[in-house]
Amino acid sequence: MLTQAMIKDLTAIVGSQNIITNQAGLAAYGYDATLMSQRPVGIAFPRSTEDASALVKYANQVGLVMVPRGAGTNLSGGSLPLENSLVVCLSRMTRILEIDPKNFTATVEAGLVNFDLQEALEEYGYYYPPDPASYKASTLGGNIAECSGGPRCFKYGVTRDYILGLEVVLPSGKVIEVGGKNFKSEFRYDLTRLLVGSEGTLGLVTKAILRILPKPFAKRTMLAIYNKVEDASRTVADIVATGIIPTTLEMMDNLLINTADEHVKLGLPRDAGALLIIEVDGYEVDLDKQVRLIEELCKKADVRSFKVATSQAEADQLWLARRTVIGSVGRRRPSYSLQDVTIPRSTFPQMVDAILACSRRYDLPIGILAHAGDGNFHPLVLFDERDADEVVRVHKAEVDLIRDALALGGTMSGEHGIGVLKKEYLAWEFSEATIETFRKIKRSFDPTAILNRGKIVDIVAEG
Amino acid sequence: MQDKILEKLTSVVGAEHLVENPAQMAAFLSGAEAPLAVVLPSGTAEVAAVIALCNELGVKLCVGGHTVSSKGLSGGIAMVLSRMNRVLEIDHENLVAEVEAGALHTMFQQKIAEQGLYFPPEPYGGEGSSIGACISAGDLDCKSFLYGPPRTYVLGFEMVLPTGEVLNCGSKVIKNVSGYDLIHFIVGSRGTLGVITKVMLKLLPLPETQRTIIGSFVSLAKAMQVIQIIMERKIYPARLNLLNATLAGQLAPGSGQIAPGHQVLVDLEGFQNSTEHLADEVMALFRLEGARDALCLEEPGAIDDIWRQWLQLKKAYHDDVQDRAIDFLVGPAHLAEALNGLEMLVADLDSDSGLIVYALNGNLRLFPSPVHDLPTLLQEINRLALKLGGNIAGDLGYRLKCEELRENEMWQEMVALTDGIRSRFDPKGILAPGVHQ
Repeated sequence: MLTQAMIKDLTAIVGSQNIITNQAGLAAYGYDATLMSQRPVGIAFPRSTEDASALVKYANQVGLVMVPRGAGTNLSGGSLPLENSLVVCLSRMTRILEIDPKNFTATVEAGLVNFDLQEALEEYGYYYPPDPASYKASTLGGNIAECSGGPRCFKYGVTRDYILGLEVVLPSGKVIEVGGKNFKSEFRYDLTRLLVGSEGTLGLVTKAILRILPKPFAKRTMLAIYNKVEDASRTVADIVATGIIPTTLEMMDNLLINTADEHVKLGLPRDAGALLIIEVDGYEVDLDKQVRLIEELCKKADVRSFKVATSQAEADQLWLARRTVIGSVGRRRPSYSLQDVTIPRSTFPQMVDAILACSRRYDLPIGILAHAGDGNFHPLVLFDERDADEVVRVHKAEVDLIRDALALGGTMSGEHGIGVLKKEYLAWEFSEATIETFRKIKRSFDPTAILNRGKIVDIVAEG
Repeated sequence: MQDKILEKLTSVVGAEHLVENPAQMAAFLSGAEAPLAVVLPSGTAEVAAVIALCNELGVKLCVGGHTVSSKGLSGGIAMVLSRMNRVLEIDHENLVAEVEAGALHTMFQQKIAEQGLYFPPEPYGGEGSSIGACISAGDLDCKSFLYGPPRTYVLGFEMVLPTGEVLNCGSKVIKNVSGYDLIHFIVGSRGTLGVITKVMLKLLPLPETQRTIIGSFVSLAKAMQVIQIIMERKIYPARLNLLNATLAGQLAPGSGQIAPGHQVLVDLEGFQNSTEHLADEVMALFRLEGARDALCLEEPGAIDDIWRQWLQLKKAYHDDVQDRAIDFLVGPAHLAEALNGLEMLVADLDSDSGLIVYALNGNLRLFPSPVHDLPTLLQEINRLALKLGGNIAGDLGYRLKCEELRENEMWQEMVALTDGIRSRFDPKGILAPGVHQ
């Protein structure tokens, strides 16, 4: 609980409009996109770097643990409040400070929503490549904290590849700038890379300098429908082998084809085993040849139907189906558990088999969604949270999927992070020397673990 | 003490892989200071044993692919990884290769090219530089705009920590956010946090075709103008470089085939149709903008020759004038202004001083002739760069920026933070004594 004196002090820092301490408000900021929730003691919304720095300094003074938060779409519990903690919510720092297309940069505050930036860049004919499925809601600060991916990663990379510099409030409250508007602006170490994906455990990112790109001259969106998942995965391997790097290779299995089609009504064949959304971009003069090549490869893999979107509207429909598919499973069961395992692309069919086996083992429907080019799977385990027995089986299934991915030389997290959800499995993926190195990193930034304590790794507080 | 160290090192690597004769050591060293010995380990286990020994005895150690900087290494050990030069795996299905750190960068590129695969970053120190150096330096090169800097291609590594333990990070997966991102943080750490012994690299399919176009211009302003036009037309080649006549005349790619002058080098890679169209467009632009001479190379052998010469030039400047080079960035849109500013500061930019511009990175590298007073010029160029929203590269640039903007608290915080990280990795401070000094 915050004392009245603390509430008064916090109010003095951010203003009465930017602090929440009532029970309804605390509940509203106590969840993320996982099934977990916990009440914080308060929520403070800094409006500027100075506010954020003052908040952090004050929290140090009174010994209040802080949890950074953007839009709360986190999938691993990284933005969940724990213990007696204060949520520092960056969602009101939403300004675009500069768009400099000729130097390929945009400078933004951390609370800006990814989609709002994309809209602003549209005017210049530019875009910011990382676009996680949550991009209409999630903030860039959150994307940075998680090193978000998205469907375009295969060709364009992830958030890490588009961050040139950051302004960061350290756990001490001091403010640093790492990187800058240009490459090669790091001092000694590439702290930018360390902060990206650090899940809010090393510092509060308040501003970011992003790398932006001109929109591609042309693109083609294709839909390939298969009788069997195996056929779809064969196509994925073959396309890459020909020297084409598509921007997108998204796969959905039969279960998800059904729920997506019930939702978006594209008229997809309900008995199909899998579909691939394939997109290539580049110069107009190169694309027809690539599409022909891809079509041949799909046919070689016994594709049932292959279609190139003939208009932007048609392509948009496909993307709508893909972007809303996770929500669409609500039509089947009230809850889902979304995994994030990632494997070397060559083991794609084995991972599919492992997921199907897991589904049978625990008698749970599992929908398979995958950024297939990246080997990044999002198995959706469907269940009912009110059924205690089912919940137990879901947790067992989650653990099995992680073990299966690690056995294939993969990782438990391709783009969602460790947070609290996967922390207990860390030792399956990393040696003690590596985990100790993670602790060294945490201690270097935050020796008292005042910022997002208990996420990724635990440390014994120093001093 | 010294004898004891040498005896123990000999038992680790074998007498034939330990060099203690100063004359023989010289072949492995750059810089004036004298280490106790040069060791050439055969693999990770030997590297770990040597480092554990150095850590135990508090002996400094510095590592290199083929040559080691002896800065701060008096009485210490220089470790050369040239025996650890194997390409361990080339995995076509996953577009991944695993390589030992001492493998020659150009050898590796050639080997995978024969199998239709591509690793875009240029060798850090030109020809003769190792893969380990590329990752350890993590330096931007002229292809980084299109392909990303070297870290883009690092999927994992094996590293011996300064305390002797072996750290493994990453795997063949191309998306990985599990734990802190050591995989990419380690890139550019310049041997201060550990000795990288192996790297797992992401590869690309080799581009379908390549064209290299060279234009020669009478004035730097003219050359810069054509570069601006190329970028405004949204042509983003793999390389878009400017060499002033001083450098172009000395060692320039294409010399002998093209009239002298300031040279613009354009390297186009990609699919057949678009690459041919773009090559025509660039040639037309060169003529339209008054190039004295222009040449488009299509034959792979001729193109390779040009870029080999480019790497030799890079090596010559890396080795000889590194200490005097001023490397700064202003963003591609400010290059013309930066050049104007530079012409005011460096009167002999047309004759004696050297200049390379990596246009797409907005990066200029000045090699001032001996007539210039370096500290003064640095201050002036720092102000010029800051005025244009840029900065001098790297550690020096960060310090000068903080000084100029009176960001003393931030400067101290950054020093403390980075010192703290380093000392947690390397509590006895044995690795890379010459770095970050």
